[in-house]
Amino acid sequence: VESLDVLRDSLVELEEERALEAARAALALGVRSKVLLEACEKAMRVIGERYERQEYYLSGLILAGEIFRQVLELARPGLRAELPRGEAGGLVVLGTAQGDIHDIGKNIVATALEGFGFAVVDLGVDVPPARFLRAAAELHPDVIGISGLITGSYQGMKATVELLKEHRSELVVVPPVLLGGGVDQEVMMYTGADTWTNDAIEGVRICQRLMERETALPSGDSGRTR
Amino acid sequence: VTVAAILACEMIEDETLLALERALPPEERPPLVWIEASLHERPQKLQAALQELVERLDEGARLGEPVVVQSVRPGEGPPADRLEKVQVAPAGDLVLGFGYCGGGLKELVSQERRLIFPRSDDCISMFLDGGCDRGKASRDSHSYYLTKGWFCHSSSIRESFEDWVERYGPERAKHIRDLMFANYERLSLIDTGAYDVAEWRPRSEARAVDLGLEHQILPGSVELLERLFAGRWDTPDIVVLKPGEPAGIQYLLTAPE
Repeated sequence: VESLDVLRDSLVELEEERALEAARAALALGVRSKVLLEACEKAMRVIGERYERQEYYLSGLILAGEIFRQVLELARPGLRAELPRGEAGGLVVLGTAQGDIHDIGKNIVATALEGFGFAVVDLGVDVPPARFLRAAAELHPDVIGISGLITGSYQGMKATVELLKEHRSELVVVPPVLLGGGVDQEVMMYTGADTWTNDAIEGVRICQRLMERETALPSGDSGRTR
Repeated sequence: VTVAAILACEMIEDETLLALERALPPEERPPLVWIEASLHERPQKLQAALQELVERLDEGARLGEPVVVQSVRPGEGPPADRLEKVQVAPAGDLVLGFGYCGGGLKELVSQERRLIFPRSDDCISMFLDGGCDRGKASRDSHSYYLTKGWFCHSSSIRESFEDWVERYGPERAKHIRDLMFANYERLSLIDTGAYDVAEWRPRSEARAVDLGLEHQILPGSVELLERLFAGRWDTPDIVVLKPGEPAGIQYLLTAPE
């Protein structure tokens, strides 16, 4: 569909209005929301490459993320409708780790999760481990997502995972912890978390897998779990 | 202790030069190999650049011959226009004037030489509290820290509001600013002692006003870098890796036994 090409190209070129217009046009033509998001994912990958090649600055990445978030908002009703019938939406508690305040990625993930039928409780930024524990005890989430961009966030992540495990008996089930942002396998191992991602849609896929649901998205190639 | 070279970041040129000046007399100073400042915000590329450099230097160590490598003369303009050659001796350790820098040192390994670096999240932690004494560091997550280097090289601070207006239009420029600096409350210019704070204060204050942040000047120092360059490595805040031992966050975040 032509409007998908326009969406992809205009997102890559950071043309906000054109991208949103193309997304609306595609949806009006009956393009499935999932397909729309796949076009965005491809565009985001190209943007990431341009950033690595120093063709884009950090401001470009941020703007791209914001356009992507808005497309997700547009796609949300469609995504909900496309979910298989009778599928229970999971609950995800999200927050930026103690010691860090970066939340652009976390906010995109929150929007994406909601689009795919999850309920999201966002604890905000610089969230102390005890706050995550309280949310786990009170809300019994299916997944806890901890976000962080800077090295200073790793200790907050580790402390949170340890605190959750210490309180295993009162929680009955310790929810799996998904790390997001400036993290990798090494950070996951260090913190004791269960899985990690630095891709919003991949984050949704991981949550879907953790819910052991029939995935609404085709399986990605980069979901990494211990 | 012989240090074959110091691998240094252009972003903190002033601090690196001051620390080296204090640490060693001129005749004892090892060659500096500068890494371009733009890699500061791109940890994967920084890691790749450092690893490539280390491998070139390893080759020299294996052959027992000096190696000539590219360094970026600190300054303005594209790095490709500022390349210079630096000769590094076949024997000796490699000192890294870098913090972990978001993964810039991740899995960095030398097969032939020891790698020595500060146990520090990044250069900000190096300059505050005389190095990052974990648990005691006064680092505030709502503060955006910077030094003079942030104004001289590619950074979110240098990328001015006007650049964004030009590139994306006034409304989106404001939006980007709000997103990028959401949750920040302060802009903290660190007085590392390596540059004239009075000269850079007005610019820093103007940026704070631009971004709707409070402005403060914080005392800092290059003491950790100085000890690193002077070869005083017997403290827990400096990591010494044996040949073949890769860097990782375990060295960064766990105090040695």
